[in-house]
Amino acid sequence: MNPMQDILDHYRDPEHFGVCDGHTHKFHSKNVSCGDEVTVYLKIENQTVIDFSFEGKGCAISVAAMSMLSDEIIGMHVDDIQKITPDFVVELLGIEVGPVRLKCALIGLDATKQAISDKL
Amino acid sequence: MLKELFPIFNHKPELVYLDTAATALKPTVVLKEIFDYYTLYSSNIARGFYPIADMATQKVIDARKKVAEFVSAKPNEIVFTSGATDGMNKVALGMLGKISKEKSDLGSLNVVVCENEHHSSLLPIVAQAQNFGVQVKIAKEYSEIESLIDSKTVLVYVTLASNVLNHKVDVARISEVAHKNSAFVLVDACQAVSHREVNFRELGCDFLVFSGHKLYGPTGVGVLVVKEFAYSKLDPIFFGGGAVEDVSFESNVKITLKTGFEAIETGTLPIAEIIGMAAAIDFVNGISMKTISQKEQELSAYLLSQLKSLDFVELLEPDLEHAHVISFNIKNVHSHDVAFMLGQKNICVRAGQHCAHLLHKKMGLHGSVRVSFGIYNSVEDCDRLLSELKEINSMFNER
Repeated sequence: MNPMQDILDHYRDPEHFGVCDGHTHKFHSKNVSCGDEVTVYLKIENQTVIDFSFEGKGCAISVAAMSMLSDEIIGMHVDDIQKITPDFVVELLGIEVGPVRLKCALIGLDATKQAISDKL
Repeated sequence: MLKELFPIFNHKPELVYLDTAATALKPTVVLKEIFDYYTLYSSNIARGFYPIADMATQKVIDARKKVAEFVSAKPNEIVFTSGATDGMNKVALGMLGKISKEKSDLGSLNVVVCENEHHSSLLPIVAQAQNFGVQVKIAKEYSEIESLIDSKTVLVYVTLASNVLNHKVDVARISEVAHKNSAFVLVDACQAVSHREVNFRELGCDFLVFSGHKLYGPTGVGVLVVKEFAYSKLDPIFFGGGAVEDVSFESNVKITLKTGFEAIETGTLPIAEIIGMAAAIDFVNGISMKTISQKEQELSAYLLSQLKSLDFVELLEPDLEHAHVISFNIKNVHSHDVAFMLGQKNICVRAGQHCAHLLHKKMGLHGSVRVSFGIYNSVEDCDRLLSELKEINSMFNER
């Protein structure tokens, strides 16, 4: 599939959008320069993410990145989530992302890492 | 064809550059002047006793005269800075710092600004006022500025042309009201200086700033215009070589500074950039500001009329007939996505809040797409933009 079309599909109908039941961790992040906002919810048991969701508003790149990442995050050990690199997110998106747009792509990942480190 | 004068189009002929409000492209003549300085007479100014230093010194003296003529000021009213933000900070900190030494009732004094402004302009003044305990009066609209000025106002800041909208601000009138109250007026001319004539005398303000890079010149250089008598109201905020008349450490430390622009221009100036900026002014004068204004007005009128015919476009200022900046959104599409998609097609626009968060917040917008013109733009550029906007709308809203 055309990566841009894939991004648009995730943007229109994101995976794991909303508030997951019984979440143990939560973090809200905002990019004031563009108004993008995301809140991530994680249910963590034995250091492993057993459920994950997010909600918020943002550009196609930020929403699609979070949507794509959500499938990856569920089932991961929290230590492994902290090791996810920006390159991994860019690879998921499948398009070149410049330094300015990288902030959009990473808003969800950064929020997820923050949620884990805040609570643990 | 003006595009031929800009070498970037030789390398990227497909480029549609509609982001001059962020920075203007550079013509060959500007780049050549900078290259010549570094290759033919690279030296420091005002301190060398050899021919190439004389040449560099003379070039900067000439540049000062040229800049002064360009804005209808005197050469000794021209302070070279690293850019408009630098100039803003020099006035905000210099003036309030000076006042803090002279007056004890700082809490009763105030500065007046408008919340529509660019952060570069707004924040230096607001932050320094807070640092010195001076009140900040914030106008919701430019029309409110006058009514906020009173006998306790020390500084009024106003922009000549916004980087997001197309307000008309009567700076001369504001200056008149401010001066009646013994307040000083600082004007940001960044977005005006490359689109229309800026006359420091007619504006009646005391300080005016702009950047070279928005005027087809290089980055790293700007201008602070200071009315001659207003120098005495500015404390220098940087100290160093070039600005000092005499230093004595005998009984106690005594630093005697030079006066006027020399007290403010410390250290080695951005010589190449100043020379490049002067070349940019020659370039603009060669085409004539009248021609530039007329061409940009025609282009903006064309683009606005086309944008108004597109039902998926939401213009921030729908009543305009022409404009120096055109800000809009595509319904249901984030401004970043619009700019990104346009970027994929080599069309350069700005998106986001354009360093004007308060303004966007007031309008209830996450951001906007901004188109701004330069002398290299054409109707063809507008048509390519319009065609891609239709494609983006179709991609996001119709498929």
